Amino acid sequence: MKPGRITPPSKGQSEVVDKETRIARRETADETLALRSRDSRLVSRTLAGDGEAFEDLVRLYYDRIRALVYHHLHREDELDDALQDIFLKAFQALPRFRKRSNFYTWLYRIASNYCIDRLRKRRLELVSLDDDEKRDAIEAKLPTSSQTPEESFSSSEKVALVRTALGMLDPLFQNIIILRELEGLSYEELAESLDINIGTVKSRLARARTELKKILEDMDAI
Amino acid sequence: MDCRKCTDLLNDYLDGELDGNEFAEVEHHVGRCPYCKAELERLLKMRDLMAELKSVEVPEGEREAFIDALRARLASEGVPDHSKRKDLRPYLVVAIAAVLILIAVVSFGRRPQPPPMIGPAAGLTPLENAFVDRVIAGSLDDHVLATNMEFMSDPGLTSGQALAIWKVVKETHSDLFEPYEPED
Ligand SMILES: [Zn+2]
Repeated sequence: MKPGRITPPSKGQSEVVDKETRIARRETADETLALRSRDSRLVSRTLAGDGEAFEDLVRLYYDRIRALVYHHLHREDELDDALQDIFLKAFQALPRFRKRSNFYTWLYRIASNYCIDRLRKRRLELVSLDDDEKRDAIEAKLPTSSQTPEESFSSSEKVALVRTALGMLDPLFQNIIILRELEGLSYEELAESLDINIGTVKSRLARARTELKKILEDMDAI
Repeated sequence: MDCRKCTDLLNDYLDGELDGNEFAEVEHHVGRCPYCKAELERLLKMRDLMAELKSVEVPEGEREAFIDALRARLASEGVPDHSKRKDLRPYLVVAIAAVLILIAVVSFGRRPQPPPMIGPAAGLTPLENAFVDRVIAGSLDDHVLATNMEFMSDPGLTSGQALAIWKVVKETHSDLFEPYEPED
């Protein structure tokens, strides 16, 4: 803990966050049914052999899945291959899609599993390095101005900082933070996307946030 | 409401996931407790930082080019082909390693804590050393999580101890760590 470094929040601040969240959630709930029936029609048409229907699904979700993958892998050169693999997997697994769930949470699950897998393989490579190589790899990941006090982090440095911090988390934790904080999934959507119950969503998210906070505190970023 | 309960609820509070009673209790506590107020402020700052990452722009034309490429790939291999099963051996290595770590942990746990084998390295800043520790600890966590042995991420285990354990495993079972090469 670093008391005294931070000015207390203004009273209204948290209330505003809360109100916005609640309004956003109500709107989302209203749209969910319409989206689900649209997607499920496209799934049926795909399964009936209509290739254009699948292309429409890809078109609808490309940007979101691309962002999800990018936030996990952070590598432009791996992005296209990863996305091809993910959408191909989705196409091949489509007969197993259950209509009562949402197509996008199902797609998020495929993409999440893919990314977690890739990150684990990267970790495995890191473990096999010797100590000098490991140190080099770590230094390469550090934001260059890591000594700068928090006030003077530029926006791009902040991005590098958070990205580094996220990358330090266990892949499962990275994944749930990205889905929640960056993709804005609700607890229910997280449960559906990750195929775990709400209780597990809450505990995994809490652990992930605690870890991330510890790292950012070590970095003097918060 | 005490500080522990309050800090536990702060993220749910920010997420709008608290019921009216708990919400009011957190508001009340945070209004009077400088510690929890500062904690809430750190969480808000963390969210602000995360927001820096949000925007990912898709270059113009990329989506349609992607769909064209995918269409071509589906035409050539779209029919589900279950003959290309994933090779599970890398996971097997991870699983074996995790079991060996488990054995090492249990035997280490019976005697006094071993001194950390990697201390702060000369030439690195405290911040960089913290990173080294975290990466090392993180890579161990990962192996453990791969086999659901979550207790290894016990915060009581320092990264130095974790690395010590890891080194014992690595030295005594070097054959497990041959670079993995898929065969066709
Ligand atoms: Zn308090």
